[in-house]
Amino acid sequence: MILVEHAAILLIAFPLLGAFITPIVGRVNSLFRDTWVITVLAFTELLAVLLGYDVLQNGISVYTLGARLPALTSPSGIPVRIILEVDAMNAFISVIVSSIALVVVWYCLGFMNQSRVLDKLYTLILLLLTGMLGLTLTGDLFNLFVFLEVVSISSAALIAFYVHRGESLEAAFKYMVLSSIGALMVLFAVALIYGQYNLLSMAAVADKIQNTFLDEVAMVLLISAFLLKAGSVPAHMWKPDAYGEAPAPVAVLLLTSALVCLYVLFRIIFTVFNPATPLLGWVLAILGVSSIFLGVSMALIQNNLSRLIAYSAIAEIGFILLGTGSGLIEAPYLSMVGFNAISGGVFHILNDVLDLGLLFLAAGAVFYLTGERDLNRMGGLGHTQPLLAVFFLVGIFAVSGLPPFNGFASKMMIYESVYVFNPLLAIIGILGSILMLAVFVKVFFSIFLGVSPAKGHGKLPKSMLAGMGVLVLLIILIGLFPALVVDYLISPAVNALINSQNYIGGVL
Amino acid sequence: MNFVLDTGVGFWNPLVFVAGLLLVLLVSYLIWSRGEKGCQRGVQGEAFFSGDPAPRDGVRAQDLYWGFMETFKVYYEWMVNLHTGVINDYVAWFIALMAVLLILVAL
Repeated sequence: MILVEHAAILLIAFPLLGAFITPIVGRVNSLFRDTWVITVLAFTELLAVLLGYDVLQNGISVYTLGARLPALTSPSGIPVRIILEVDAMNAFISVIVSSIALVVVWYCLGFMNQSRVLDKLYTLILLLLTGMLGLTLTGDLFNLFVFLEVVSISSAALIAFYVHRGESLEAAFKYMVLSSIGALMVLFAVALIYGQYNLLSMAAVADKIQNTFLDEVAMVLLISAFLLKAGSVPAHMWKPDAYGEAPAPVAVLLLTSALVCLYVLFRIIFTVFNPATPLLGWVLAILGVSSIFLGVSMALIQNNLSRLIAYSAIAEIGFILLGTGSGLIEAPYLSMVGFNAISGGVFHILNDVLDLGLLFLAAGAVFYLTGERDLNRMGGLGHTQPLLAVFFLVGIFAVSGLPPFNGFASKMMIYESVYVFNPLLAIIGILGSILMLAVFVKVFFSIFLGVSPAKGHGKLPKSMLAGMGVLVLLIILIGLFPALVVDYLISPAVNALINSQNYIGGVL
Repeated sequence: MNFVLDTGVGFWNPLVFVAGLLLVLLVSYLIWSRGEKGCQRGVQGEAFFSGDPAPRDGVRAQDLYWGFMETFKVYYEWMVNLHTGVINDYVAWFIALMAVLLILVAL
C-alpha cells in the first residue's frame, strides 16, 4: 500500500538512483552489474503497473513533494510545491516507457556483450528513463523543462555512443543544438506563463488560463518545441542522423522519448490550454499528413537500414498527429468520431513503439551478424537466420498496417474517423501505409532473400532473440485482441486526456 | 469480454479474420497437395527480367523501384536538396515552423 502511495515519485527516483549506483556496481563484476540494472528496470516496471492499476481503480493520483501528506496539494488554495499528477493517460505512457526500457536493456545484454563501456551505457539509459518518466508524470511546467533537459543530455550522449565514428559525434552535436533551442523555447514559454499567473502547476494554470495573446505565444513555443522533439515535419531532419548513428537499442529509446514528447504535446493542447481551437487541430492534421508523405517517400530511396527505419518513424509520428489533430477538429467532448480519432492516435503510440521498436532491434540483429547497414551489400540472411526473418516480417506487417497485426487496428480507427470529416486526408494516410509496405518489401528482399552469402553468419545471443520475441508476442496479442486494449487502456486514457476538469480537480 | 473493435463507423473482428485466413490456407494446401507429384525443382525456367539475363547476385536495393524514383525525379531532387545535413538549415526549418504557427494561431 505504501509502495502504491509513493509510486509516482519512486518511478522517477528509483531509476535515477539506479543510474548513479550502476558505475559503482560495475566495479565489482559485469554479472552483478547486469543483474542490478535488470532489477532496477523490473522494479520500475512493477511500480508503473501498480500505479496504472491504482489509477484505473481509484482515479487520479497526485503526489506533492515536500508536503506532510502527498495529497496536500494546495494548502493555501494555491499549489506552491512540485506536484506529480497521474491519470489514466500518463499512467499508460509510463507503463509503455518502463516496459520498453526493460526490453531494450535485456536485448543489450547480448547485443553489447563485447563493449567495454557498458557501465556508461546503462547509466545513460537509466538517466534517459528517469527523464522520460519525469516528463510523463510531472504536473509542473518548470519540472517539465528540467526533465526535458535530462532527456536531451542523456540522449545526446547515447547517440554519440560509437565515439570513434565521426558521424555519431556529428549526429549527437546536431541533436544537442536542436534540443537546446527547443528547451530554451520551453523555458521562455514557462516564463511567459509564470509572469502572468504566478503559477507553475499545470492544473492551476489550466484553471486560470485566459487565452491572452501572451498565452497563445507561449502555446506556440511549447507546441513547436515538442513537435521538434517528436520529429514532425518540417522539424524532422535530426531524426535520420540520430537514429541512423545510434546503436539499435538506443534508437528504440530515442523513438520512445519522441512518443513521450508527443504525449506532452497533447497534454499541453488538451489540458493546459484547453479549450484548444479547431484551427490547431487542422495544423496538427496537416503536419501529420505531411510527415506521412515525406517520411515514406524519403524512406523509399534510403539504402542505409537505420536511416530508412528513421524516416518510417517520421511517417508513423504523422499517423498519430493525423488522428489526434482530426479528433481535435471534431470536438472529442461532443463527437464520437472525434473521440475515436484521438483513440486511434493514442492507440498508435503503443503500436508505433512496438512495431518500429521491433524493426530497430531486428536491424540491430542484422548489424550484429553482418556488420553492415548498407542494404546494397546484404542478402540471403533468411537462409541462415529464419527466426530473425520471421520477426522482421511480423514487424513489417505490423508497421504497414496489415491485418491481423496491431498496426491495422489503430490505423483503421484513424482512417475511418478521419474519412468522416475529410476523405482526402484519410486517402493520403492510406497511400502512406501502402508505400510503407513497399518500402519494407524492399528491405526484406534486400536482407533476407537472394543468394546465400558464401561465409556463414554467427548465432544471435538468446537475450537478443528474447527481447525481439517479447515485442513479437505483444504485437500478435494486441493485434488479435485490440478491443480489450481499447476498452481497458485506450478509452480511459483518452477520457483522462480530453476531460481537463478532472485533471484540474485533482490538484485544486 | 468484447473481442469486436467498434471504430464508430465500422467494426473489426480479428478472430474472424484469422479463422478465414486459416480456411484459405487449408484450401490452398488441398489444391497444392493435388498437384503434379513428379515436378522437380529447377525446371520452372529462368526468372523473367525485362528480357535481360538476370543478375547472378540478385538485384541491389538501390535499383528496386527504379521506375518509381525516375518518375518522381523532380520531387526527389527537390527533397534531397532540402535535406542538406547542415545544422543551420535544421534550425531555420524549426524557426519557420514556429513563425507559421505563430501567424496561424496567435495573430
